[in-house]
Amino acid sequence: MIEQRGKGYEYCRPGSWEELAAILCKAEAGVMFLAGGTDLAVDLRTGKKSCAHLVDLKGLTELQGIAETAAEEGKKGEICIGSLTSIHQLEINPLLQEKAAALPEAACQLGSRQVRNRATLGGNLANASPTADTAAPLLVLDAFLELWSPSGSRHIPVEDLWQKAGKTFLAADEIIRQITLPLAPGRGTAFMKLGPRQAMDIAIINAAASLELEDGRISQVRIALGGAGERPLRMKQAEAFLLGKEATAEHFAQAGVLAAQESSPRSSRRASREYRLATIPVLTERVLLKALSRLS
Amino acid sequence: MTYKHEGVGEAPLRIDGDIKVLGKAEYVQDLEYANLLEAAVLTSPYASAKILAIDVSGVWQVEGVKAVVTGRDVDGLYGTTVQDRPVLARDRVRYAGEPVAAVAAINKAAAMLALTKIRVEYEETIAVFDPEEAAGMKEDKKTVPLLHENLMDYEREITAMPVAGSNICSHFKLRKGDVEKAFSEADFVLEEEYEVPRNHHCCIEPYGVVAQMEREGTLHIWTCNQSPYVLQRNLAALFGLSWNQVRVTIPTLGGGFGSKIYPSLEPLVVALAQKTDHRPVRLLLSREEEFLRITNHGCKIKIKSGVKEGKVTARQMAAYWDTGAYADCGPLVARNSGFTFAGPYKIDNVKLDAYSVYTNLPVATAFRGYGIPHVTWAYELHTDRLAEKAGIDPLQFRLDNVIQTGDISHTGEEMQAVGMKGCLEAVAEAAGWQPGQRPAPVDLGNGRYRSLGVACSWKGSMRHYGSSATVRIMEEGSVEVNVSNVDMGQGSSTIFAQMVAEETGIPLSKIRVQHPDTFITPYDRTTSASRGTFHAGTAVMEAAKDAWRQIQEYGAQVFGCRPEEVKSSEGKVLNPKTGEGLSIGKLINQAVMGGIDIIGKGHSRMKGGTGLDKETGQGANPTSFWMYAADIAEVETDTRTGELKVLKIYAASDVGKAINPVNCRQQIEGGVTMGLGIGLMEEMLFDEKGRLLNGNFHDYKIPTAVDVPEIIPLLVEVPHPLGPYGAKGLGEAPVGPAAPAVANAVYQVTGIAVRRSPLRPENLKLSWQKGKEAELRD
Repeated sequence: MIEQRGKGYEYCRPGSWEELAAILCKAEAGVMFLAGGTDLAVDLRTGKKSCAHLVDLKGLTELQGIAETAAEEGKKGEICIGSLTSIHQLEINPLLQEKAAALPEAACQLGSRQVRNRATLGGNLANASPTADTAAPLLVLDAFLELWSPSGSRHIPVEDLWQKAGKTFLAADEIIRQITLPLAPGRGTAFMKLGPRQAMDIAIINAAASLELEDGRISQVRIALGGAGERPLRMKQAEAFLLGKEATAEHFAQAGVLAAQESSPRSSRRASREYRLATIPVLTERVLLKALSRLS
Repeated sequence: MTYKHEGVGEAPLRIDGDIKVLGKAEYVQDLEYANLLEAAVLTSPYASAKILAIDVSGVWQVEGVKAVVTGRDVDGLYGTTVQDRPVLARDRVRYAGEPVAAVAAINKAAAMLALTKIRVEYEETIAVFDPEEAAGMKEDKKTVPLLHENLMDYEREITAMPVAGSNICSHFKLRKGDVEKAFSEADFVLEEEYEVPRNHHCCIEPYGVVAQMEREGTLHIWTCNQSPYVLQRNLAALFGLSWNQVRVTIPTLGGGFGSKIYPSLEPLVVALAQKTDHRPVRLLLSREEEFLRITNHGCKIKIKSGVKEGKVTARQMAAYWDTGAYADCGPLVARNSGFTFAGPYKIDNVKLDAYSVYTNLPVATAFRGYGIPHVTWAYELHTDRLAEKAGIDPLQFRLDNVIQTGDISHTGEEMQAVGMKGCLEAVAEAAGWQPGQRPAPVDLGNGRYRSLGVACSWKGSMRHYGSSATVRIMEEGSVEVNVSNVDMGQGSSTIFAQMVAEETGIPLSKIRVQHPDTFITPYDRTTSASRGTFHAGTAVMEAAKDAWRQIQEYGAQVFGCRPEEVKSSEGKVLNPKTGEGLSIGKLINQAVMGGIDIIGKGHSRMKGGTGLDKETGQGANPTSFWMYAADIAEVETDTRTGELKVLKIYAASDVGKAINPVNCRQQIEGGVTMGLGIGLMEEMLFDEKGRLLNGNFHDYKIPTAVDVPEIIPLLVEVPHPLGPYGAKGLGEAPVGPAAPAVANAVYQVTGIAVRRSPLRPENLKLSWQKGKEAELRD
């Protein structure tokens, strides 16, 4: 019954990149970055996580926002999302709704309205939950990330962010600065989520798909699942199976079976491995059907 | 001001609605006190352990600490039915979460810090968690540790019937006819086992208590308790005070559902308050603490029925109620659900055994329905299996078997004013289900089906307890209603005000219903068992009639007529000779030169209650009234994922007479929602050491607004001869049928029975998979 509180930490809120760099260079260890805080603040209170320095990134206002760069000759168009953009902003953004439907579709099913107002895209990714709702959409949208640390910037595909549950490949002083979605005009994308209730729940399994057709055959396909392994995963065997085939319910069902074969879900209090394995084929099949229905 | 009558049968807005909507209502935690101290409680990390030593000396290192108590500081035991519970654990702890020590300090942070300075040395002992095992009824585990070695020495109420040398704090029996003979003569016999795990009340207001030993010698408690007078008497006994020295004040209360009926943490706060030199001490629980304070029972139920020519001829049941470490009201839950255990059916041969069993889990208490949701889950899923085996439509099967007016109940009562059939007919008509012609499931594609399921339930209020009320009419024509029934959100204060408006003709806007306070409002046993409208309502109605009679007498004197000729109109007293209206103030002035209040008194005294025989459970009048409810659920079942989408619930309740039809519909909607939560997602999870794993709203799922389907409430009115205006109770009955109706709809699609609630997608999907494999093997 006693609330266990974590050890004390030093809180700071840099207002510029220079200030952030200075803080990070001075801090020896135990740095944690605070974005929306919807997970971290709870974990710090219960003592599940602790840190010596809590660096609040909300002072860096340029980290918020969604912008499109139009296609130019030789270069595809893209949408750039600042890492501190709130989940609610993703949910209501017309640009994303039109060109990357899976992401706002996932955003509107994440937590409660209050949580979506605070939680951020970068935070959802860096928290590294295997069932993070924005992860599977970003995987099928071929998103890449711009990372920043005092020693410089680098770009990685979103797929290379996660190691395992709760653990990323980010360096201790590194943050996600921006998420970039390359645009593909002929694409249909979709997201689905399986949970014990219809809102305010963490997924047991979530799934996203992206699909393009050429002459009635599948010319590009991406399938990603959360909850199918210790990190969000692309289902590459299922994708390879579908490539070049006709987009039929039967093929999608077969892809679902393959997806279950390449998954290695764990049992947790939320759901057993057995149940996850039983529902992965269904969700995969259905999210593909939904993506297909979004193709004009 | 235009006159609005707003009496019985109308649907005015709730009289406390605006203050709640505008955030003006004051709950325990909103009240301000001078020199307030905050309390914090240290609890046991073990489900079962000896306390070898406690050292509290460290707390005094923390600045601002004013008092500390442990079990050694407080004598005596308390409890609702069995006095088995120390205020703080003494030489042993019996569940993880049991209070071991408490501190009062100038603020919460200091109190919390002080707890970390207390050293407790435990020696862990063997715990038992399964109620059937704890009862010593599992074949392979006959030897079990006893939670209360001195069980038979405890003071207890007559309703507690403990079994010596066991963990059974009560064994309720009901025997009628000859079940063995009926089983042998039946066309078929079906035997099944059901289970409902523990769940939680989830009141929007977590528990809060303030206690002060006042300088004038009185003990004053402000608390969110549903039964101020039960608390008064318990505290008086524990702390050696007379009843009139204990003042229990109930501010606005934010939901009870049974979790606040009986004393829980009040004695502990009083123990602290005795050491603070008259400073008030406040304990406000966090949501996490609230989950451990009290819970609903978990229950395992075995049910066996015989059917002959489409009629249920015999039923045998056993229930193992997990009441946790202390009895609280467990024996009453076993008994009250026990005598209704066989369901709202006319069955001539019945044998029921209900065991209330101690386990090393948190204390279980009353929960809206008092065990009825659990037993309804069992007998209503079972009823659909029986109908299927008999080859009869499940709605028709129920209509053929339900109890009706004039039938003799399982306890030997001649039933009166029974609305069970009416409820079934109401939901069937609304849902378009012709008896005998259940609609087939609709294939929606990709493994999804839509289907209908039905369930019904009954509940006896059981309480013949009295209630008193006074109605004070002031000269200006405003009214104060004094009654100790607690309005927890169910709307009882509006109901009482409507009754007063009905009897006196005074508009609702002039009527105020007091918050319960044992120094002000008269006796009422408990706000429980759906008894408010029936019992407290009767008292209020009688008090209002008494007050009006006094006005009529003054009228007779002033107008020179007979008292019964004096009528009210638009809030005024009519002169029958001239037809002119006189205000109440002018009337009193003319009659006795003013300066007085009119005080009407009323009591609800229920006569003829028989109780139930200890050996046979027989009794001709065990309950003051019965309630009946039936639901039809329209459900979309996803057979590929196990997900359920409840589309609609048609829910009928026999309310006798709807004093306020809108309020009645709201009660049905709330009850159905609660029932769906229990049936679809709610479950308290404990680890192998008896520690609660999901004591917060992140991990313990209750329905959100989008999970709640469209609910179509239907009011059936079979008037009760003794109820005020014919009213029965309503609060609890709607909880029972919702989840079984859903489960029965799902069963129609899959044909595979799932007997444990909640119907979580995973439980369903894996049960179906296993069921299918079993079918393939056969």
